[in-house]
Amino acid sequence: MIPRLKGWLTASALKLVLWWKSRPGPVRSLLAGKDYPLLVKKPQVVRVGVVQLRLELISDGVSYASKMYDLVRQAAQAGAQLLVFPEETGTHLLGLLPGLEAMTRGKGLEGALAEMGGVQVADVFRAVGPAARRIYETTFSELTKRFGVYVVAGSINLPDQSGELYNVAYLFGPDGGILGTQRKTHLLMIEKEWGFGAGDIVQVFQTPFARIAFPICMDHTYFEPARIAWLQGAEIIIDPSANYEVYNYWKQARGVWGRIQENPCYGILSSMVGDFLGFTFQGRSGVYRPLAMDPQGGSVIAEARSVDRQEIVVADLDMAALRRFRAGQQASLNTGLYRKYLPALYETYRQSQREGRRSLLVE
Amino acid sequence: MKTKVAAIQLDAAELRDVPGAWDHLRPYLRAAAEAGARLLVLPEYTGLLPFAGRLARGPASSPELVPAMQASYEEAFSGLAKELGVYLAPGTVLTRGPNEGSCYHSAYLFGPQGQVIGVQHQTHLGPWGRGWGLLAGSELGVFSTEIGRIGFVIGSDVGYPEVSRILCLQGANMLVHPVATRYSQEEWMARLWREVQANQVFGVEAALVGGLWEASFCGRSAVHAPVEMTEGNTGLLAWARAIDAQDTVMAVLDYGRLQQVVDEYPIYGLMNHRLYSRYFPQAYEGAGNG
Repeated sequence: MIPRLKGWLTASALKLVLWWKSRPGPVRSLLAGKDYPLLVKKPQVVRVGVVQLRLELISDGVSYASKMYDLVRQAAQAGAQLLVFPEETGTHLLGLLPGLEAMTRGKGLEGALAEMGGVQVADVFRAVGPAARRIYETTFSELTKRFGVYVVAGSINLPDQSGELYNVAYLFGPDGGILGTQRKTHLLMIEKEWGFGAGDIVQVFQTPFARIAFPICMDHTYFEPARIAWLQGAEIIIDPSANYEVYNYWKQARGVWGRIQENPCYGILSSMVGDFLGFTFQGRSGVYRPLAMDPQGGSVIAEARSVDRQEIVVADLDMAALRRFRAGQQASLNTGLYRKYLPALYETYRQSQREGRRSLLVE
Repeated sequence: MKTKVAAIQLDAAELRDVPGAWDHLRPYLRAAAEAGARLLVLPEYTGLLPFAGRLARGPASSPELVPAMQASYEEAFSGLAKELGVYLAPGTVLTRGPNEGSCYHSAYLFGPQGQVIGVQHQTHLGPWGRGWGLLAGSELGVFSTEIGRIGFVIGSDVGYPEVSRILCLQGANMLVHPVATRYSQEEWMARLWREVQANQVFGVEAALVGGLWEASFCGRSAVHAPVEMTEGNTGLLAWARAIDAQDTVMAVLDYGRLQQVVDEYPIYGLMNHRLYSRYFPQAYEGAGNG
């Protein structure tokens, strides 16, 4: 057990340890020595590789880069041009904290911290965040550059300059550059309790094959983010997800699959799996199309074989077919109706709540 | 508080161009009422079926057609609601618009005294509505009753999540969905099922089956609830046994249990109002034809 954990988390010695562990040099050296097979690209069709990732504690940058290299290589060898990793891809790097694994064994993170008194989950993420960011950014920057692919590298929990924590997903481009980030806009109750902040922007990114957006996990329970993304031109809506409950087909359908039935876009779900610090993650990664594109064929283009194992789902998205479908969709939004009610009705609703509680009762 | 509702899956052939068509509905409605249902829901196009032959050339083909259809529907279903002492949502009908020759595709809610509690015009027209030049509704209303706060999601309106969201932000705790469509499990989940889960309310879906003009419908009427309230987390309290035959689907809506589910995980309590204010309504500019 680490004595005086809160002091340890902010101690200069720990910062030095984390800085040392997150040096880009060893990560770049490892990846420079690896093999990078070439891709075959088809026009108008983008091959996606969706990583269903098993979350585990990793204690150094080289091990992290090695794991990610293997997965990116596997997807790239299958011809993937756009890869997607799940939410919490950066959370492996909580293992940078010396002793964390031993401390949490059998208790989980919250259980272990509860015994410390005064230490919050947010403190842990703030302490490890800068080092985790260096490793995460170096790893995916090197991998995308060397493989020449686009990667939505899942998400990582990072403090901003003021110290507020955000769950942030990154898009890396084939030159290794960070093309942009997307903050989670709809928090889980547990994230709110932990003190996370919520983003208030939905980004759409232009790539050579499609415009993409990647609201994170719970964001897809709400129609608004995917709708905003589509209205801004998104063609592929991506859900990096880490769902900490046992998989259920019906529950999972409440997320990005539902959003793809509302918006003429392809959908991608990348699920985190595994038992990690007291949480069990399950999900079935998949690639979806609007049912109306192919009522006989169905909406599932490809999906994972399992709900609890690491694997990669590969699928081809015919962007020409999607664009023909979108062009053939008669514009039938009732914008006058929406203008009448939105966004004012959200505020009216909030003010009408008694003590913040929504009443479904019949009075 | 608990209340029993009934979704009546109807074969179009029972009413299509049938003289005295409304009397054919009485046995189904009476059986549901006698089984304790307090709200009875009929499918989309119910009010059009007895006039199907005349409507084949479009509502504009005869200036008396829509007024006659509307009057017949109002008289018949007001009478049936009062006779049976129930709330009655008898599917949809064409109603007169504000200008000569204009009309809407509308759903009514009648009360147990035969009174009209509310009328909702469809806000996103389907292919027939657009082809006929119908007007799209410009408002969404919630009708408060002693058995629930009811919002209508008419046919193709269900494909637009704004409709259910606006209704539920205004307090709806039950979405009523008269529909005529083609059934597959995915299609079914992509419709009212999806909206019920997104808004954590009850849903009553009544489907038309059989042929009408050039279309052939099959569907699975159902009573929906948040998955946490249902066996196997399916989101279904009850559903039709067949997709191509008449059936009456009944279930009890337990509002107390619904409240528990919402209190345990309040989706609305975790909304991001800053995000919505940033993008709405300007994100819709240049989109659609509203």
